[in-house]
Amino acid sequence: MVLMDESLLYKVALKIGGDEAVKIVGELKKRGKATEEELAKTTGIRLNEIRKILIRLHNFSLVTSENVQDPQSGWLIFYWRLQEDQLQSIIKAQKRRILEKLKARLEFEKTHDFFFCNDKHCGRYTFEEAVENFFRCPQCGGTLQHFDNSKIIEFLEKKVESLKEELEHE
Amino acid sequence: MTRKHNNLEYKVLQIIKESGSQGILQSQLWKRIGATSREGSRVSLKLEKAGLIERIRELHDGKWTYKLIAKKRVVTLDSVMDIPCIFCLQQDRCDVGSNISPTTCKRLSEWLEKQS
Repeated sequence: MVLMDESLLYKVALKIGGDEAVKIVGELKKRGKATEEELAKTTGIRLNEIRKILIRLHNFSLVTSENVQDPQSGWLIFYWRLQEDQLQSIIKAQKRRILEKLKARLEFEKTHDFFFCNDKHCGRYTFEEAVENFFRCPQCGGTLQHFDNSKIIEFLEKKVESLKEELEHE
Repeated sequence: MTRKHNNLEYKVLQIIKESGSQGILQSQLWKRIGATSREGSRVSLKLEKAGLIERIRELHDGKWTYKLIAKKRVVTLDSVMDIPCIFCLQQDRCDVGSNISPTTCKRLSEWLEKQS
């Protein structure tokens, strides 16, 4: 269980801030808490990059910060610490947010007709956009054709259902 | 005796949880943990009575067995790992009708095209 949570922790860090976030999280895990300068020294990552990644991790609640007064100098020292106990709730919250986005997209796909031109790089247009442009692609000028989105709808329906089911059991 | 059984129950429950919504066949589970089918059946019945798992009767290779599915499963990222919305920095600003929206997001559209 502990090992699984650890690999999950690194997966989350990787998704939030790439390899450098994994290094920072690894270092915080080892040390318990650390300053930005300490992290920069041990990981070899530039200080401004460390700050950027820590803020990203903080936005998703994976790390927290605390001010500690240095008993000798009286200065405030700014420490960062992992919030491993929040990991499962962070993931569940992400899943709930994704579910909402996918549901919104599914509704949009179901309630609109789409058109595309032969050059697929130009993208898709809604019926309203196609009418406005007289069924000509606004990017390349090609003729717009109807786009069958039934596979997208089918895929989204399955994904929404499986995510709902997963969230109910976690 | 009790401790041995508690350990076995915990181990069995973890394996069932890890197998997610697919569950695991009782016959395969006992092989995996090196338990006898009698010992295993007792554990799975106990877990079912405690409301921790579901046992669904299933025909496998011509023999009746049970599929064991945990009611509370291990939290994983696998099902959402490849969805571009996960830990997206625009998440708070992404909403239907706004500039950043799940209906117009290019990354989400590209991902959907690849999937379907």
